[in-house]
Amino acid sequence: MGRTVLLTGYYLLIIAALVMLYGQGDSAATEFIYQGF
Amino acid sequence: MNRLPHLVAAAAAILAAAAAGLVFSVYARRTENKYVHAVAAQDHAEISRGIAIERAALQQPDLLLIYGASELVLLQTEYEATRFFSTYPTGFMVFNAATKGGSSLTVAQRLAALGAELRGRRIIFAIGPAIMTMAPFGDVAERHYEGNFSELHALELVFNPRLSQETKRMAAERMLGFPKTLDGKRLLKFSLTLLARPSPASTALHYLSWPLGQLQLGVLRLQDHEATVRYIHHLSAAEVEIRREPRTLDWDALVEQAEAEQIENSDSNPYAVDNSQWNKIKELFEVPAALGSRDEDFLNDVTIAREWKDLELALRVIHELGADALIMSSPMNVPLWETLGVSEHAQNRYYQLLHAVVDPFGVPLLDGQEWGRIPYFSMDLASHASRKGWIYVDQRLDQIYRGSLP
Repeated sequence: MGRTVLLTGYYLLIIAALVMLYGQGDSAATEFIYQGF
Repeated sequence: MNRLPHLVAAAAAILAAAAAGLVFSVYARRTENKYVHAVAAQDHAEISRGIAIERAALQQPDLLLIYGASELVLLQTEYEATRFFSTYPTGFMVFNAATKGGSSLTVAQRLAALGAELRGRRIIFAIGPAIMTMAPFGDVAERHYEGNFSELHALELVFNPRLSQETKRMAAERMLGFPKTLDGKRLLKFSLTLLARPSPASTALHYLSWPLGQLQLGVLRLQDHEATVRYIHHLSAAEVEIRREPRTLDWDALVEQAEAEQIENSDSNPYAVDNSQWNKIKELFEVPAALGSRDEDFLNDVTIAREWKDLELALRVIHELGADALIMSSPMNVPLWETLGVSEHAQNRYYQLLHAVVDPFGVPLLDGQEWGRIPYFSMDLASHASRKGWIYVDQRLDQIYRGSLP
């Protein structure tokens, strides 16, 4: 049981690390400069 | 004894993460609903690739959503709708979902992303003649489309169960024409390729990939919520405060006031072009053109414009999702185009084609033609509203909100 909990924590950390690394997506991209017609 | 400790632990971790995502979504939606009025009054372009805040805006009876392009957001003036209505003088405010460089293709995807929540909801789609009359082949510029592209909006369109195969085919064909926007987005590109050439096999593959699409959409929606919540948390106390100051508006006096300001800001040229735009177009006026001398070119350009097909696509999305939409067009800047050799008769082809595309969908259209000769209405050739033009637009928005138009 204890081992399962530790392993679960380990996998949660991996998920958290993935979220930190790749979490911000398209919506965080910078606005382009509109140059009009 | 647990023979698969890693599998059990990984499954537990994934379930816990999914639960955390769900809890965060609920928190995010509550935050967005609470602060959407504050966001409406701010420049929220940085979250414009998302859709969460627009979903929140759709639910508010005192927010009028406007979709469109630069016609709505170019001029920074107190008469521009998001400033003019920021104190809810007549009981409502606009939520500007228009973006610089936006086009019908962009709007089609954005509306598709609203999905079922669009049904029965009033939205305004503001368009103008700029792309049809000035852009090469009447097509949205690649840099504008790329700058506005949202993977979230695109995938929401691809995996929207309420859109027909034909609408998705039309959209996919167009979207594949902008390959840079699909770089590194394998599922999106794969799906668009399937949708663009429908066959029993491609349709089957598309439906087989549906779970993968929902998984990716789940991630993108969470990212959207995160970006929106972060944006809201960065608003200052002053920015989240909403002041409601009902008052009766004297539209005639406002027109007069705004015209005086516009005249001051157009003194660099004799054509009523705003000073901020004059340098961009002054070369066009160096050699005088006889009235009607450019009619043939103009008529050809406006007739073959690609944007008409994209407008039809946006209207299909509006129709299939059951939105209560209204189309509002900027007028041609009649005197300015006449100076360039295009007669009013030729310019009217824009309105004829506009009605030809819009009317079959039964969507109310305010084409703006009656505004075409109002002095200082438009600030340039692309029909961007001037300070004075904005008062007319604001009055129209007020009439729409009250139900006295269309």
